[in-house]
Formats: sequence, C-alpha cells, structure tokens
Amino acid sequence: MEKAIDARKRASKRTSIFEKLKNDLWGAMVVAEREFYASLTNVRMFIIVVLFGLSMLLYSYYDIEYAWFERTPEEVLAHVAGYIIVSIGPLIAIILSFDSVTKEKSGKSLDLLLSRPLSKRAVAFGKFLGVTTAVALPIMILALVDIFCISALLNWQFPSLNVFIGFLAFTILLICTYALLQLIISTIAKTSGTAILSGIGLWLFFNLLWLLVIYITYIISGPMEDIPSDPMLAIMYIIQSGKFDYLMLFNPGGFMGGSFNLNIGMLTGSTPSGIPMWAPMASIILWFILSFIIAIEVFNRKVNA
Amino acid sequence: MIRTHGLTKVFHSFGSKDVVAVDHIDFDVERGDIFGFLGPNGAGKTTTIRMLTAILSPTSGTATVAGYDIIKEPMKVKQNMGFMPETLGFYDEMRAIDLLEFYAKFYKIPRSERRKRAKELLRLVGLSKVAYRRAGAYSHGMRKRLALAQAIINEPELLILDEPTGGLDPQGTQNFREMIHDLHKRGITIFLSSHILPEIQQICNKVCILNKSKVVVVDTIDNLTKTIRSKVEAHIVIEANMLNDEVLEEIRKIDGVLDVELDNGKIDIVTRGDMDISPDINSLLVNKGVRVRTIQTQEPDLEEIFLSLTKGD
Repeated sequence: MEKAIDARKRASKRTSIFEKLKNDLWGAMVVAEREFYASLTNVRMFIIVVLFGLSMLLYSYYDIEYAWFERTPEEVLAHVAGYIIVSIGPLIAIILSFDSVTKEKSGKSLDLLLSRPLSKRAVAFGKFLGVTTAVALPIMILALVDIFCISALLNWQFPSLNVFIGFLAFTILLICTYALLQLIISTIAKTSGTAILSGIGLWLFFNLLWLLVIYITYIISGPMEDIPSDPMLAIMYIIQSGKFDYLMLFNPGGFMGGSFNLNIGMLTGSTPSGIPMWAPMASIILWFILSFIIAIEVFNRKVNA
Repeated sequence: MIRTHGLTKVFHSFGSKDVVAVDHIDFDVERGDIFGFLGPNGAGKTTTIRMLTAILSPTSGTATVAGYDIIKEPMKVKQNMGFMPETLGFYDEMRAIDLLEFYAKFYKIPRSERRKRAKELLRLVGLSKVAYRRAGAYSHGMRKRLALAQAIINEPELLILDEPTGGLDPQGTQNFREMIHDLHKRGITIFLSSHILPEIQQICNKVCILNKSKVVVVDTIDNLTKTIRSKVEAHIVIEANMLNDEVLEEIRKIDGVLDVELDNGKIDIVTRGDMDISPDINSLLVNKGVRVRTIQTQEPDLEEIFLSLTKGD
C-alpha cells in the first residue's frame, strides 16, 4: 500500500516537473520571439550586418586575388574565419546584446516580465535564444553568400562538406558564446554604458591582449630562445612557432582564430602536433556550455535579488 | 486569498550592513476584500508585493496567494493573480494592443482569443481609440490604464496593485478608483498598496498598516476607527445665533465634552472620540432656544489613525 502511494507521489512529482519545464519552455519561446523581432528590427543591427557582410566579401576577394599562390576554398574560409569571423563576429554579438538586461532594468520592464508564469531561468534562456537567433540568422546568410562568392572566384570549386559544416557550426557557436558572455555582463552591469564598455573590454582581451598572455607564458615557461628584440615581432615569432597553440584552447575564439595552425588544422582535419583533434572542439563546446550555465545562473541569482 | 506567516526579507550586501526590508509580517486577505496595504515610503510595501507576486524569494516565513505557496508553487501563484507595478516599464516600441497580446501569450491564451481579449480590455480602460499607438507615446495616465489592462489579461481572481494612482490628476484618480470598484464587483479580490491615506479609506474595507518593515495593525477600517476613537479627540463645530456664556457653560457640563471655544459665532466643541454626544448637545441648544444653522462633526480619519499608530517612529 505504502509502495503504491510512494509510486503515485513520484509520478505526480515527475508530472509536476514536466509541467514546469513545459511551461518554462513556452515562456522562454515567448520571450525569445519578442527579443528576436526587437533585435532584428533594430537600426544598429542593419548597419552592423551590412558592414560585416562587406568586410567578409572584400576580405575573401583580397585573399583570393592577391595570394602568392592559388588558394583552395578551405584555405580562404579558414582565413575568413581567422580574421573576420573571429574578430567581427563576437563584436556583433556584443553590440547587439549588450543591453538585453540593462535596458529592462533601466526601463523597469523586468517586474512585468517576471510576474508572468515563467521562471527567471526561462527569461534568461529566452533572451539568449532571441538575441542569438537574430544575430546568427543574418550572419549565416552572409556566410553562405560569401561561400558562394568564394566558389565563384575559384572557378566553382566548393569547399568540402566537413569544412562547410564546420565553418557554419563554429561560427554559430562563437557568436552564441559571446552573446552569453555579454548576457552575464549585462545582468551584472548597472547601466548599458558599463555593459558595452565591459563587453568591448572582454573582446579586446581575447582578441588583442591574448597575444600578451601568450608572450608572458613564453617568458615564464622556460629559457629564452633567440627571438627578435622587438616585442611585436617576438610575439609573431612565438605564435608562428606553433609551440603555444594549446593556449588558444583557453580563448573562446581560439579554435578558429589567432593561430593559423590550429585554425586551418581544425577545418582541414589535422591539428598541430601535440594537440589532439578533439581538443579544439571540446574547447568551444565547453566555452559554450560553461557560459550558458553561468549566464542562466547569474541571471537567476542577480535579477531582483 | 492571501495569507502570510512570518514573511521576512533581508537584503544582504557585500561590505555593508544587512537591510531588513520586511520583518516577520502576518496578515490575511479574504476572498472579496479590497485590502489596503498602507505605509510610509520605505516601509517595505513594494518588497512585500514582490514576494507575494513570486518575483522575489523571502528570506524566511511563508505566504500563500490564491491558495498556492509562493515558494513551492510560484507558477500557480503567477497564473492566478494579476499585478500592476508602481513603475510602469513597457516595451515602448510596441503598440498597446501588441503588448497585451504579448503578455497574454504567457498564459497560453489561444491566438484567436488573445486579440479579442486585448481589444476588450483596452475598451474597459478607455484606450480603444489609441489601441494601435506605441506604448512609448502614451501619457502617464494612459500608461497606468494600460498597466491595469495587462494585469487582468489572464482574468485573475486576485489583483495586486502597487500605488495605482500615483502621479495621476484628480480626475484620473477618480476614474481609476471607479475602475477598481468595477473590477471588485466582477468578483476580483483587490490588494492595494498605497501611501495615500484617503485613497485607502475610500476604497478599502480592510487595511494593514506597515511601518519600519513591521505590521503595526491589520483590521477593518470601521474597527480601526472605533478603536482609535477612544484614543483621539473628535470635534463638533456649531454655527448658531443667540449663543451666550450660559449656553457654553451648560455644554461644558455634558459628559464627554473636553473643551468648548467660541469664535466668530462658531462653537468648537472638543469631545472624546469614543462618545457620540452630538444628540445631547443638539437637544440642549433647542431647549435653550438657540437657533442652530449648521452642525459639523469631525471624526478621526485614517490619517489620524495612521499618525496615532506610528507616532514616535
């Protein structure tokens, strides 16, 4: 008899958890839909996307036309990923999502949202989903246009399927990761100004100051080799030596930028020596998963606490 | 409809002292009440409301809203109540009708029903003519009405209003009070937070007075008035002809009269708040042949009750 009651209780608990999840998912979709349209119809989205599209197309053209030797579509895509996607993609995610929470805080619209039947985690998830979809959609379209143009310039040579899928998938993961990092900043920041400045600071750190991280690691990791005395040349020398490629695994954009060895290796299926094939993939997936968990939990704890 | 027990909220902040915003408060709101939640600014009204609407988790204590526990079943709480916050934050780029539809989606109201309900509510709050205007272009009074409309989009049995008439002109305030009465007539229990004493006195049947994060008193307005009458003075002001010292002396002798003053043909009689002696005074004046033009009785109002209960704080 007691067993039957316990089983009923467990079943009821399961139903209630399932109902809660279903409810939260529905609420998150409602939030995401609004965020998506609000971001997509934003003027700054239009300007940024146009600039991004032009940069990608012009860079691809330059990389093909002014190369010392004939390029393959895989190499061009790897360069586009390493220079354009990894630097401008995160910036787009940051600029379009920097005020996703601070705007709600300053506009006092959070109370109305949080009084609806959905959890704070669902609100955070909906915001992330809406913003990233709005950012990723035009970027994906532009990436496809770019691949088409690259193929046209290379006498209709198309990139291999794994490079094609890898390029698009990693681009989305990179944008999602930066959108999540910006969501964390936006939740913690008191004003939109602080949020965008912190976001750009984060972008500068991973895109420029990371070179300094590599340089410092080189200095503290052992005896100095005969490297150029000019610090910039020294950094370039250290990067090109490929000895510190593994450091790029600790950078959200590292798997596809900063180190050509790692970048081209990832897309062509041969990582630099010492780095297993799964490591760059694990790096970006971990970056994404950790950012996702932290973003949702920070929102849950910080908002209206 | 609402039951709180030891509800407490403490805000912890790094490097500074903890702030007790709400301190072990207990009160009950019955179905069908228009319950006034009164207190000076900073008393903890909005924090309490945020806990009751399951936006904020309490530090300790419990509360049930519409029969559901705010900690264990926050979604059920939210599904069964409507909330109008003090600060009106809308997505200003959205049209009023779209905003209402957006909020309706959270309650899984079918698509065909959503627009119909949004239109009905905009008509109810007098915004039908501007239904397709962006919320950002609305005046403060219109935003208040829109806030009321969104609060009842899910046809709640309980409506929680935080300072609903703040910033409205007298006409807007009156209209708003009428709307609240209409909603109450439809069977919605109203929980109204305000620091405007006459508003609570006019609209509510029961009141909870909060001061310095604690409940000072919870009772009906009538009971509060009766209780407080024994502690405060009432005034009877009489305008009459043929008043003289003899009449004043006779009035002073009536049990319950504390003081009598004559000023420009008016007598101001100070009496004990818990004794109604105006019939005695009236019959004395008639017996003495005094022709009374007006008699005004000034009983203690909620403001005096409030000041009496919170004096010294």
